[in-house]
Amino acid sequence: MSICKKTIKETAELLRSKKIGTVELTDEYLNEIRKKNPTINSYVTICNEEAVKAAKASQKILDSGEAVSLLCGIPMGLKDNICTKDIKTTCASNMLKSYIPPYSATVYERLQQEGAVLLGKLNMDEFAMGSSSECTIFGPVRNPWNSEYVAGGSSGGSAASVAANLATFSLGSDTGGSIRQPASFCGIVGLKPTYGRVSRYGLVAFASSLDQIGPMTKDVTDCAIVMNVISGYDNKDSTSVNTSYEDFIEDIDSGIGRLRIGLPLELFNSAMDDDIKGAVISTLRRLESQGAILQDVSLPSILNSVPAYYLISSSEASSNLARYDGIRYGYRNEKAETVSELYRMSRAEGFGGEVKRRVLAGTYALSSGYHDELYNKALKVRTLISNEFSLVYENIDIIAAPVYPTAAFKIGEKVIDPLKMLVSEIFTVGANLAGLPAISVPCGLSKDGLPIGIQLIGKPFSEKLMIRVGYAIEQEMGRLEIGE
Amino acid sequence: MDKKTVRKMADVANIHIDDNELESYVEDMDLIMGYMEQLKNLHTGEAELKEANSLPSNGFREDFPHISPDRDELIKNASVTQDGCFKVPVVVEP
Amino acid sequence: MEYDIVIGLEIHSELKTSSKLLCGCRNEFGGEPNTRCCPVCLGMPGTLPVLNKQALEFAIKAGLAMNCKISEFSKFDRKNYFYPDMPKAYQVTQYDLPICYDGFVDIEVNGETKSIGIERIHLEEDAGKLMHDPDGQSSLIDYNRCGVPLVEIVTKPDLRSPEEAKILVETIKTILEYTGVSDCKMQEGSLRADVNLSVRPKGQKTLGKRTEMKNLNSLRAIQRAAQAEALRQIEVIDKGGAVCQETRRWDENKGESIVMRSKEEAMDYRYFPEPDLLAVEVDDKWVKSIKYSIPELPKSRRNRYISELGIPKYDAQLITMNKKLADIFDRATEVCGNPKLASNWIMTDIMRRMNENGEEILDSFFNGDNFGQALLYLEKGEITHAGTIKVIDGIFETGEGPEGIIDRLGLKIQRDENPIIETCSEVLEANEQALNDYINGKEKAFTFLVGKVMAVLKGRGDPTQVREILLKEIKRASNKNA
Repeated sequence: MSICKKTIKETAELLRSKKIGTVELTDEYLNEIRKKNPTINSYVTICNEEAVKAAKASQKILDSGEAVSLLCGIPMGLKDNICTKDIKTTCASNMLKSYIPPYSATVYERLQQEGAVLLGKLNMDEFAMGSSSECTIFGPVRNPWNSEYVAGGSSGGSAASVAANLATFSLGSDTGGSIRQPASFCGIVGLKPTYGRVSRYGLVAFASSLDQIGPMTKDVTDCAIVMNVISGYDNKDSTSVNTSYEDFIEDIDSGIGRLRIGLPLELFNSAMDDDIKGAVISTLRRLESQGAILQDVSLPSILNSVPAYYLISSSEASSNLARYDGIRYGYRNEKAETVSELYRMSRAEGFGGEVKRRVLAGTYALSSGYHDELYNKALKVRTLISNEFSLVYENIDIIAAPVYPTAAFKIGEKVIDPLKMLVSEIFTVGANLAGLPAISVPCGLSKDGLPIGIQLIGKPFSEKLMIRVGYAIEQEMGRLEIGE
Repeated sequence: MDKKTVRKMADVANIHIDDNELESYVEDMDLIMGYMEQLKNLHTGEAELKEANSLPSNGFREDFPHISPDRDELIKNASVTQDGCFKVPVVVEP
Repeated sequence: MEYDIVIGLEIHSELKTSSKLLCGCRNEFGGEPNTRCCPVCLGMPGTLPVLNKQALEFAIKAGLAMNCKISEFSKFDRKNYFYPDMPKAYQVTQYDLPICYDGFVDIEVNGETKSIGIERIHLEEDAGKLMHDPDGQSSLIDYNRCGVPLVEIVTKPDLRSPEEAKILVETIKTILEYTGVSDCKMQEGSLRADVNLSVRPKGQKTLGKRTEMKNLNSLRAIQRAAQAEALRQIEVIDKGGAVCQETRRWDENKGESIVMRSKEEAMDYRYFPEPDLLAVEVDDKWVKSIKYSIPELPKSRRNRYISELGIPKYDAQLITMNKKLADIFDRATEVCGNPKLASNWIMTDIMRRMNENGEEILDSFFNGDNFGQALLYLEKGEITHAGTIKVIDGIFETGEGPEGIIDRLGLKIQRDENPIIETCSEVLEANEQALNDYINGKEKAFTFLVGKVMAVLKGRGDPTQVREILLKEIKRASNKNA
């Protein structure tokens, strides 16, 4: 078996037993990337030299024999909206095509400290707006299971790189499902942490009150390993929460006992493909046979979650993206003769269509005539959704649901219908609106042989339980691996 | 959403839209916002206007100055600079 | 027709923190362009703000000093608009839940006390600075000031004349200086005001249409702009027109204002809660601890000067308007033991120096200690009035102590009679005409002769003693002549 197929845990053991060195390992990956990336298109920047340099440094740490992190020497990729000092961070946008950040995101600093090796930056929907990784200046990411299909989005490159064994793990960001949906489409594990669990410092903002960075890994154990490193308070992010340290690996295999799992009626009654529903239900039945108690629950306001999500995220985005004016960084229209022209033309030429639509929608929702009936109304729906989750959690431990109504769709199939793509996000946006942790774990294949994920949504800061349940599912259903 | 509204929003957001692309923006925006505007008629009762992320209050920094990074590092991404300043076409006060 | 003028002010004052509001860059005036900046205050992608606790406490302190209530719960909002001096294209400010609200400030107008309502005080960040490239084609941006903490103080429309507006700004400036939250250096733009003004026929209850005059950065500009705007509005109405609700810009050189934007062009700031900052909760205990840290404010200090030290009301008012001056007065009084002497010298000599050379002279070597010592020498009769001025000159010039200056310049009063008698007779011999004039009844001639003697004694003579001896000498001379 190729070394690149191995999980973090397996690779770390090989590194420790000196069966392979970090530089050799990094080279293996870089070779794989050279071979497969032209098809998959997951990497938009490949850090050949920097990766080898980092690998050498990690080897020294390993050789020192001191107690070292499991991530030491592990090759990884970062979504291209996570700032990396001296390495281009483009957000897959013409606006930031040649932007080189002067600082690193907190998550990257933490991974570097552990000795993880950055292979490169990963393709995505422009500014994380989208769910197919087709809205990118670098061309669409292709699904490693079938290159005619999308990898999902917006963290499509992060998902595809892990599924195609071009990185041991990656980080993505999730504003309305952008980690979970591509993880589901590519057959890997993707976790969106509780809002405030992971520092957002250095994550190029889409919608500040919804964005979270999270791990995308080959299995649930790896997810726990990465969470152990990236979680925790950061004094550079006021919204990161100071909770006591938790070891997410500890007790990962202690089972689920008489876990009470809530199944939201509104989501299970939503339109979805039969094979999706089938895979999710049969997974839940297997958990039931292990002792779990399945219980129908109701989250009535989830039916309004998509408009609330769209209006809030677009409103925040219209403000967050206003800074791209061509003056201090980013694309600049050199012909502009007035400041107004500089703004208007730089932004017209720097942003793609989907970004512009959302900025316009957000500007509209916040403008004085509509502020109350759109933006404020959306905030109220958000409160209702949050309250409904709290109420439901009084009687259950965790919620289970599909991630997406379909498996991966064909490239080009939905770009023409932006609304359809938005409406499908009903399964994922609730967790973002309520700030809850949620994970996608592979649970089967569609009739076309494409991966399907099941989603677990937990109480605030219940990632540990969620990971334990995810692990139980993985034990029951097995990992999904692409055949040769 | 009609042409006039899309134009106005584009003006506020400082995004130039060519006349020939306007139609397609209007079409998309009308479709999307038509769906999103279902919230307008929704009865939300006494729901509070708060951000749903139940974060604690009071996240502060002590008033200790840091050493600012090297200026060259901060302005290296700008297309046009002069004497350590960012440069723009002359700004006429509004 | 007669009109009432109605004025409300929005006063912006930079806070004297060590670092900026939302990042750790130094909060200092000037410096090489863009050297007090970092990725956060430049709004670079992915950066996040963290609130400076001191800035919040300064805002609360300012609010308490202006008798405001402090919000138990407040938050920050984004005010969205594009301008090259704002790197994020939004300003972090407070919209509907300001940190302080519902206060008042007392002002003294023509000897009467008037209470002016404070609507709210909120905390926000300052913008950068635009400079015009000499080529006339471009502007250059320096973000050093960007992110400096500001309080915006919004008054109720309680002011009834441009003079009251000026006095209020002066009074608030003093309060901010006393509380130590701001330097209020208007020439550096650290204190600026917007003037909201309307007029209405005398007796009418409802307010007229108001205009807003932006960014006035001197007391003179505030008063002049308000004066001119009141006259402009009255003229418009007298001619049968109507005042338009609009924002105007004052041109200090031309002494007139022009329209910046009409009501229709008013900006839609699309405020919404700043998602990157947490809400602020302030409990009683915290408010109390800030309250205890507020020093004596100008009003109570003024009352103390009047009732305890017997200083004239006008003098007390003027001295307390400047915190540094009042501090110098307090210390000098302690040292010399004579408050009236100290206030007289401040009102004449020191005020003259401040008028001639600016308030900054108070930041030099001159302080309450050396000033008080100089006055003590005067009080003890060891130096003359003229000598005291020379001592103060010396302090301002070199910072040398009074004792040294007195020694070096030989300013100690000459008490020994013999040299004075000698000098007097010499002067009388040399000025026979003046002597005769005096003997013939010309009183002025005596003053002339005293001046001559004092000049020869180089200010060391005690005027009273000199007069006595000179009189004796004149008598003797006239006897001799007769």
